[in-house]
Amino acid sequence: MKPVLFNILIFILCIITLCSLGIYNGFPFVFNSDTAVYLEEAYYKVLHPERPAIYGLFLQIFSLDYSLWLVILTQAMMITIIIFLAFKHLGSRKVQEFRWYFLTFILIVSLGMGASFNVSRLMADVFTPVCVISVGILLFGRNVKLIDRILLILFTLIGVSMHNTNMYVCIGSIFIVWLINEYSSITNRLVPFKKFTLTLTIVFNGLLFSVTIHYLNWQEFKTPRGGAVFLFANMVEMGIVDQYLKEHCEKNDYKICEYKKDIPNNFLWADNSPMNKTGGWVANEQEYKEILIDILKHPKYLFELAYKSILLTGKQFFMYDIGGVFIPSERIDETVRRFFPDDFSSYMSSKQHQDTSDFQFINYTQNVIVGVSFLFIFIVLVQGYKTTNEIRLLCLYILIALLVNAFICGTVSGAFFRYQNRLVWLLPLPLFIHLSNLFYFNKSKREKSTPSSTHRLNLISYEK
Amino acid sequence: MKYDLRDIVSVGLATIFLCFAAFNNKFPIVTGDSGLYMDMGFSKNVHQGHSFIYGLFLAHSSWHLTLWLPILTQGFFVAFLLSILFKFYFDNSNWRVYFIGFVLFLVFATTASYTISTVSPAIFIITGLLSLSILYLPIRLLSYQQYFIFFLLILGMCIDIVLLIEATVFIITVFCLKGLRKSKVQITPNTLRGLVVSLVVVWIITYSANYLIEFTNNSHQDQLIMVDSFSDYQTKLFDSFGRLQTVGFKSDHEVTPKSAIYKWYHDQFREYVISSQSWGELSITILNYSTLILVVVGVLGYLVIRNRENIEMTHFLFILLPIFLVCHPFCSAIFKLSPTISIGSVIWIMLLPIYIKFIPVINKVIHVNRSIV
Repeated sequence: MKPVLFNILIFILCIITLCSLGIYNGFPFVFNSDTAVYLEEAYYKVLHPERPAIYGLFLQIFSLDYSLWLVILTQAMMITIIIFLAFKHLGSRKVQEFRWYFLTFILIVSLGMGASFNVSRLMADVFTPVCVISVGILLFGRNVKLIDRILLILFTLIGVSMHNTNMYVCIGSIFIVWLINEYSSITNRLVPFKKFTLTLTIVFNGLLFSVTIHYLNWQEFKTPRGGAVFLFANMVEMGIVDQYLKEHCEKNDYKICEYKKDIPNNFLWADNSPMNKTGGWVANEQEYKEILIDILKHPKYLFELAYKSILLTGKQFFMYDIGGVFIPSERIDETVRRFFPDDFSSYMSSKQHQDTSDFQFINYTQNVIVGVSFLFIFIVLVQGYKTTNEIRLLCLYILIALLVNAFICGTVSGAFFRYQNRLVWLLPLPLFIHLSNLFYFNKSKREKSTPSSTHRLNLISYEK
Repeated sequence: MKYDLRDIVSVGLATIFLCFAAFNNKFPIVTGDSGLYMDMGFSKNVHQGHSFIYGLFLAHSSWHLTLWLPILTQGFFVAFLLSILFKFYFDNSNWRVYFIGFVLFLVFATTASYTISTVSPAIFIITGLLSLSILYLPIRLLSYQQYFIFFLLILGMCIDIVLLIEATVFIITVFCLKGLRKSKVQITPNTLRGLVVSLVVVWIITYSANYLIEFTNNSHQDQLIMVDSFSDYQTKLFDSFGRLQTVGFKSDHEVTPKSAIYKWYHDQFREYVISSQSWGELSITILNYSTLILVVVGVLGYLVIRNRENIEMTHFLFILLPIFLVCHPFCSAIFKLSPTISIGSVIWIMLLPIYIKFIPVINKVIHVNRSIV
């Protein structure tokens, strides 16, 4: 078989494997009412304050108004490309040298971790690893050709604009890696400052891209503005709002003060929540913003917030199980029935709708793989195991991206499994790229041939 | 046995990893008895069949602020003791890799993290056993390390009376063997002396517990906190000998974890309510199977694999740990003590000698493969 054909076959196999949990479920997974909100935004042309509408547009375009299966196929293709680019630019350059490791990586993260679950779900979460890895390659990749560079920039722009948190995760990760690069001996200023500024500019352009798309489709030149309400709701769960209202309701005339003694935990979505009793999201946004600002002005609450944020970061960091697969709400039923009538019967008979899906075993294997990956990262970063600079930087970068993601999601929205599950499957990536490099290194040694110029640097790093 | 910065980082990371289950659950895991321990620590009420010392440990280590601190402390105890053992067995810079590898293995493939992350005294069997092993093995400890390990041993014996009985039998045996000048006994005279003193101290505390509790019940409780700190286990042991009467214990089984958290850690109540356990989403069925399979396969593998390195020392752990664990329920039955600690939840410690024995074998295999390549 010709190598090109063989590579295409591997590529197709990767896409199918990444959709495997969707196939197992009988239909792409949906999430609470969020999937419905995205579809409504695209089809009814209404903007909801809590969600960016671009993912809705993505659903509309790539489903071809025909089937939602096409969406998860596109998502799988995207993930395959980005992982392929990571192997290409952070490890061995020749496809023949890494293709088996690439395939094994996709098989392991799809069948033993949450990659396939994220790809097979109609949620914008799948774009977080896309933009994180794109940024990683833009920062540490060597000899990235123009076509690949354009692809990476495009992925970064799309990825950043898809979800409220993606931009903060990318900016936070870039900033921390820059700090370490400048001031720590781990990286020894391997990445030039120019690369950081360029990548940061691309990430900020993602925001511009987002508001432009919003303007073109919904005639509103603004980003989703749910952040303050999310943070307020999370502060309710942290217990800070209770304390604040107890001490400040006498002086201030807030609407929420009426309900200060029985504020439920599920503040955003509970029917008996004061927010839903007093006019909903938009009507209360201003009041919650005022309270938030006042809370941040008091050192006492600020200290409490800092402590709870650290705790929530810890929780979120280790909360990466596949979960949250609930029976879809009637709102999603209605949306799928209305916009994808041909898919409706398979949607209704899916495992998720029948409540028969079980992920206990995959969660167990995921834990084991995460353990092995952590050990590898520990060996590289703490024990100083000799490997290429790219691998070392990638280990550091993925760890930081996971931490920043945990911090931002944990603090702004609360600790939920899906936030970390969307990224955790990237943990074994440095290990697999390292293995492919090692294989090439051993092979070159065996053949005792002069390595090609592109590989020489890798070899030098290993031999050192 | 000195610790450099990397060693300290490793122990810190191990501590955090060992608390994985609590983080994953969003809150320390609680059992039906956790509420009683919390209540004992703060209200100084003694509940039948539950270690008062653990209640005190909870109250003091949490600083009356958060239950995360006792859980992190429990994780630290285990991480520290394991690090000493690994440093002893692998006397080179690679010990950190083996140590973190073992911690990750315990955390992700066994129920260890769940035991450590639970508000329950079960983990003190492990710390007690590990402390005893470290003191027995010829490890060069710094004085602060030695005192700390003695402290952990005494704490373990105070919390779990069965461990006290087992340790007594063990130390008497070692003492006799030492007297008979058996060459295999590796313990130094100083350490043996320390162990004997610790035992005597804990036994004196145990023996006097009943009188002291009786005394407190006739006096004002708040004035004598130390007196309340004795576990009713101790008194119960003497009950079983028929010498003394248990008096003045309050039995209040209506203290649920929920009510105790509401009462003693009110600021954390919301956190508890949103935990996975509260929502009935916590399941460790697969991890239980995994632990059992790993222990059985590991024990068989241990017996089959022939490896001469560190053999006597791993044998010591391999024999000591199961004897202690198997004797535990028997001792409880003989002395009619309440089995508040389930051995199933600490069986994973059996993997320690197996893992230590397997490392040189794995290293050898890797080395052979490399040379073939």
